[in-house]
Amino acid sequence: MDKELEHSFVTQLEKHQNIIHKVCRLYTNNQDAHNDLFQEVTIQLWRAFPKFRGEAKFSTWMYRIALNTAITLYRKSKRRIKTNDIADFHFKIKSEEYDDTEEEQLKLMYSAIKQLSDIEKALIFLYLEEKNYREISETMGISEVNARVKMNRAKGKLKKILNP
Amino acid sequence: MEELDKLKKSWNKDIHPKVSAESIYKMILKKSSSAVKWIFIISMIELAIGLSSGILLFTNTENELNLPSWLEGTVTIAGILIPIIYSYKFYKNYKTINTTSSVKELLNNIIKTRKTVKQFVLINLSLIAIMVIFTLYHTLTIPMGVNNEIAYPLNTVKDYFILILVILMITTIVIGICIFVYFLLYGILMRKLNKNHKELQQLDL
Repeated sequence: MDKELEHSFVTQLEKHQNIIHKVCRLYTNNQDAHNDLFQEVTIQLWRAFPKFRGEAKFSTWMYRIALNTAITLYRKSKRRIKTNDIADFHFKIKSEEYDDTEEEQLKLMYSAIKQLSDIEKALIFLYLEEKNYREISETMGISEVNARVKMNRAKGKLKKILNP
Repeated sequence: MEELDKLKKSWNKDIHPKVSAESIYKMILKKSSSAVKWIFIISMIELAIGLSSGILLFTNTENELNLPSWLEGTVTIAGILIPIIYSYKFYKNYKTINTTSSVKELLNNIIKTRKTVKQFVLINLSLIAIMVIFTLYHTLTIPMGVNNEIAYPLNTVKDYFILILVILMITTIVIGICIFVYFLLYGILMRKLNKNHKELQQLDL
């Protein structure tokens, strides 16, 4: 039974892992921290998995735990598994997909997002993931109105960082 | 916001090198290094110290400390009951910490759990302070030893003043060390949680 559970978890996580990578990208500044947070989110997801009833989509369920881990639980740790699979992460956007100006703009955008608070980062993340305000308010535990207010403030802050 | 919308368009294209199933298997065998885990471990240590000091007080008060009977009774009951009540409260709160809650709910639950232990520590520190004051007073003023000597005979107002000063100083040092260790342990651990909690609280005001 445990093996089945483990297999089902690993298969689904492998499929949806990009969600965790995207959270890690916003909340960490280097490869080691990215790998650390990826591992911590995976552990937290695995712990909560027996209670996952499939009412929500696996990916939706992942958002909440990944963000909770990044905002609340994550502490930098040196105890990280060493594997070639995650040792080669690059923070550069694949150059063949973008021209230089676009790449530069995106880099600036990422660095601006990183200057936001943990909560604002979470809102921007959910916005980028095209979540509606109802989903955002449920994930964050605040009212829809406050989610809107906070989102506008976060966007305003980003604008100021990008155009000082 | 134009720049953000540009990022939105490319957001999902930004594919990271995949972590293999084999690596995920390895990861789930690893232990968590989360802040909550450390808060839990430190809280358990605090509760264990509180519980054992309660038992020690229960077994030792009568013979060694020579406290007034009303205080002896209160300290004994408090030393046993308080750790039991707080261990239960802590366990109950800890059970509500769940990563599937919303961000705010999770932060609230963690902070509530911490508050329980904080209260417990403060009560314990107060009990320690009372014990230190009374023990010092008795040690210094009650005749003891073979010659039935008083360590610090109180003859003048100045004697009383010095005695109170000494007791206060020692009590402050003992409590000060406890508080220093306490804040050192929690200050770092709780900083991020408190900051994010405050931000969400302010938003809902």
